[in-house]
Amino acid sequence: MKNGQLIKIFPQDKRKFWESTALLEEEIEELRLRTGKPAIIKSRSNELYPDDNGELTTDIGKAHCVDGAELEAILRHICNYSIYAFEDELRQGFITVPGGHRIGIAGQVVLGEDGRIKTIKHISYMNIRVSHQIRGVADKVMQRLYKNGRLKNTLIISPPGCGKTTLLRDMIRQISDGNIYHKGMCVGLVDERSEIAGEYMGVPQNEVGIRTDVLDACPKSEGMLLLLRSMAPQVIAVDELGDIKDLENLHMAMSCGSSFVATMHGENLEDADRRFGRGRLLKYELFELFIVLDRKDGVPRIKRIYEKEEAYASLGRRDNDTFGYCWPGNMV
Amino acid sequence: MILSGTVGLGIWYRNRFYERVEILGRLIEIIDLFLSEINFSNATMPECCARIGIRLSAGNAADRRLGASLIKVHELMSGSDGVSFDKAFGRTMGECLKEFVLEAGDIEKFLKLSGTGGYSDGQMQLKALEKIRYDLSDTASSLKSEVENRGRIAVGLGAMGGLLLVIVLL
Repeated sequence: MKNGQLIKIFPQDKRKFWESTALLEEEIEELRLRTGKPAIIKSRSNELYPDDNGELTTDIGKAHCVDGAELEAILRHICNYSIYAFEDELRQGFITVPGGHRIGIAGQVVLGEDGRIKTIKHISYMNIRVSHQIRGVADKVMQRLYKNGRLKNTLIISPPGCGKTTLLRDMIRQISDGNIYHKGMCVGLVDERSEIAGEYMGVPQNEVGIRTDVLDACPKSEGMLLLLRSMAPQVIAVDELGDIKDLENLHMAMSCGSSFVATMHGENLEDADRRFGRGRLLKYELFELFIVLDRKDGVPRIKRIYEKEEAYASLGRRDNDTFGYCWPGNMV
Repeated sequence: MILSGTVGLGIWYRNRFYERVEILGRLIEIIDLFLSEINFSNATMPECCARIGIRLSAGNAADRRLGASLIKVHELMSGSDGVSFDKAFGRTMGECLKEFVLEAGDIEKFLKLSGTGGYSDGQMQLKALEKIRYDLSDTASSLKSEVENRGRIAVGLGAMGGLLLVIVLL
């Protein structure tokens, strides 16, 4: 996270309180704010709590309890005092702010006449997930990405909080800028949740490469087709494939000649296959490289990289082999 | 000379009425632009200020002044101070509008814009802006129907005042 970004989440009259917390922004993964409960700051190594003066302590008994008015003030501020403009985001339960940081919200859900979520009111819970761009986190995988002068269609599989978006971001950057294995390629990025490029008024807040075109806040299926029609990407990048429909759209778009890099939630290959419907990954044979992530001792890492034949052969079998750490400072 | 001076004063007062009508029309157009930006592109209030400000920068002197102030609102919101929209808009536009021929009531009606960003519902946000537009339009319409008469009265009073002064001095 660029310096000084975290403090901007808070309105002017709350900034003095959160100053000490903001100094640790490089370490912080999450801020949890719950009405009537202690504010919790989750860093890579431990949990901290601001006391009533904003000073950080490890004693939860001294922690400052957030009240509803504070949460409301923060919400108004992160929405730029224009809550109406975030109707869709509120419906989905999170707001992305400049820099790609995601603020999850929870409260009382209001349903529409069709039974679908219309909005969330009485917002009493906030989870501020701090985005960190780590340059070089994809170094260990770059060599495996290319074959015969083109990029292999790659799927990153990861449980939540294991760095798949961080990895994807750095992969896009290196593919776009070029690296020692291949010259730079035109990348089309469908940034549906504004997390990867973290665009703010059309300007990416994160580095995604000099040859990257970004479709911000666009649904994946429409985004892929739009990019293919208008921007002639050599590579298309999408985040968080969800279901078989996403896979079908990819299959359709792939026939236009672009390579793909995508991510999805999952514990492993089998889990990913299950999410799409058993056998679908094999049926479509879209991907040539699978990167599975997990956490060890609280640190995200690449657990395993599968080539195409290996992946399709192993589907249905559990696999506990590890590849090693991939995050700078944690090399094994 | 005295007569031309007092008639000139009367004309000046008449022109002020016309200027007020013109500026009110401008403010109503600005609200129309806000409505358009929100309705079409779901822009936040600071974004609206930035876009409308840039558009106004290509206009006449009054437009450029209003545009510069709107851009400043956006810059204050984007800056590192974390100032709220109602403070940024209220202060910046409040100072700007004092330079124009507007009454305190006109300025107060326009500055109600600063308090409209809290609606969760886009439709309600538009309605709030439309209400402000309606109030300003109402004022502008009444003024338009009276401006000719008031203008004539101002010039007439100026002329008569000048004549009276000449007679008294003679």
